[in-house]
Amino acid sequence: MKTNIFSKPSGVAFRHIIEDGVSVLTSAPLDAARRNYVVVGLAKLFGDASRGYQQLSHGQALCMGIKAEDAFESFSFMERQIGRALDDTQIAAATQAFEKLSMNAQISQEEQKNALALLTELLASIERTGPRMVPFQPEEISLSV
Amino acid sequence: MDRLHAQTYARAQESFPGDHAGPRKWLALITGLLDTAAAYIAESQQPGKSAAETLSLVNDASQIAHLAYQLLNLMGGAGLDELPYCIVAPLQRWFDDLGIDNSTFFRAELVINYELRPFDQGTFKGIRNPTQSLSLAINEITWPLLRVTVPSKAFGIIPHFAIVAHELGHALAEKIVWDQTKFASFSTDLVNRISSRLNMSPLTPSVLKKGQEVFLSWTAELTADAFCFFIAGPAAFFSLSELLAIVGGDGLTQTHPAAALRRQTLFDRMSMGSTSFSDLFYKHTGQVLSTEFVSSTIKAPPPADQLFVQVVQNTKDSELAAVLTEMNEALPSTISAIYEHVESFLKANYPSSIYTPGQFDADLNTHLQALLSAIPPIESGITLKERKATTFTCIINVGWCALLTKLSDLRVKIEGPDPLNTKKLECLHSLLLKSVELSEVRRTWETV
Repeated sequence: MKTNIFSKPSGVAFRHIIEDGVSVLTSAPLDAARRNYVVVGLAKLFGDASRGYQQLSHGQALCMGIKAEDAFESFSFMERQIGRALDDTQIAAATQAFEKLSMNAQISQEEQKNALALLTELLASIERTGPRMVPFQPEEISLSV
Repeated sequence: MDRLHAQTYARAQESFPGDHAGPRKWLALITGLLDTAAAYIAESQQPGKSAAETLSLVNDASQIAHLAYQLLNLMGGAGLDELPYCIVAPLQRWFDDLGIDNSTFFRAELVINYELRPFDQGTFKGIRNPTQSLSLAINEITWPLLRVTVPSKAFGIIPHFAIVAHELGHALAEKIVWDQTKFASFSTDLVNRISSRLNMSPLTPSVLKKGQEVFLSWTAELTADAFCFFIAGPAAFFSLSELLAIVGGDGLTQTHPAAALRRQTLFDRMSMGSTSFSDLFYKHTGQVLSTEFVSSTIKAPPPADQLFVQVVQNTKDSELAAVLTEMNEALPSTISAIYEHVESFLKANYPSSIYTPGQFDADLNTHLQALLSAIPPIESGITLKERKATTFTCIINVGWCALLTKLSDLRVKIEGPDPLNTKKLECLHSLLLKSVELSEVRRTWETV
């Protein structure tokens, strides 16, 4: 089974993480342990999503099994959560920003701006869709007559 | 929130089937959420809070309470009224013996539905400022927590429970290391087929995303079917075929491959080997197995061009239609690789979990005629020292053979006419339920 402690954050927990991610980017006060949990988790989520996008756009191939699914699912999760087709530029920028922050490194204004824009859009999307426990998978379409 | 607290407390006082710990862990999680929501409310009433801060805390408390309410609803059917008491322990043993140590709880639903639903700690762990009770409840659970749904008592005929092994397969599939090279030619073939169908090259990320989603879903189902077959043997073929027939239609959806393909795959496996399961079924029952043996109503999907048009009409999505149509055409070439991976995984890690034709032969030799004389299969072995409690797999396989071929030979007293053997079916079910219960008692003796 999946062991990633940050897998599929959802509902109130996801909103809290995104809000705290905004706090980190804007240097608002945040407990050190919580800060670490948030930046490491967001770096992983965005990093996986970015890999998932790369696999789809450059691979022209389908992958079998869970390792591919981790990245692919994160990308799919992000798209469902944000409600539009994503391109990799923004996700990759956010990944880079949170990876640097997880190593207590400085980020540039440009990196901060890009990551903040993505988190703000995610928050707006969460506000719009309400506190669903898990973003819904696409509806199953039965083809049986 | 107080009412939810009271309801959660009341549920925690109940007994659960098999004295299983899973529901209590789930209830502790709900209590932790409610405690956290209450702490938010208390904090909102602290002096010096701005109106915005107060509103935010109350809003959060409301959403967490709503989540707690959802979780309480999600454990519906976990009580003694819905789930046979004795069935939980052997099902849990299947999980334990196959190294699935996730926290689990079982629940029943009044529909013919088997489901394994994982819950990630991400839904709870990220909540800001959790109370100690919530943190403790999260830490007490081995994540992802698994909720296993089976049909409730009315639909829950014991032999059908083989399908739980399919759900178990979903959990085990994540442990397999897939050799991507075994699927490379399939992937190339499929991409070419979809390109040709859509007249699009290279495929856009949108098409590939749909293809990847369907591919992962379909192969996950076939992988779970394979686990079910290796663990449960012929009971897997009978149970899955019948379930697919009851569900109806061709079974082909975004999440599931065609029912006919799944059934044919299982039937082919039944007939493999020098002495196959099918041979042994004939030896003990005198009946020749066929693909449609228990599922004559399963329909095959239409030919590719017709299927494509049908999906476009239903979904208005030609990309999805191309993916489903071509995946349905190409998928059979991957099936042997999937079964090889599953078999290798089980042989390397849990060899004793594989139900072999030899075991099937021995189980039918020992228990089939006895069961027809109303002696439930409780233990096997000739001498006292050799005797062991029968396994759940043995019970469901012997049960299926009796159910499908020998029901009219069951020597039990029936009151009144029984032209369709429905009363005998009830008697058989009771005998099998008793087998599960008494073999569990026998197992307990062995450990004393």
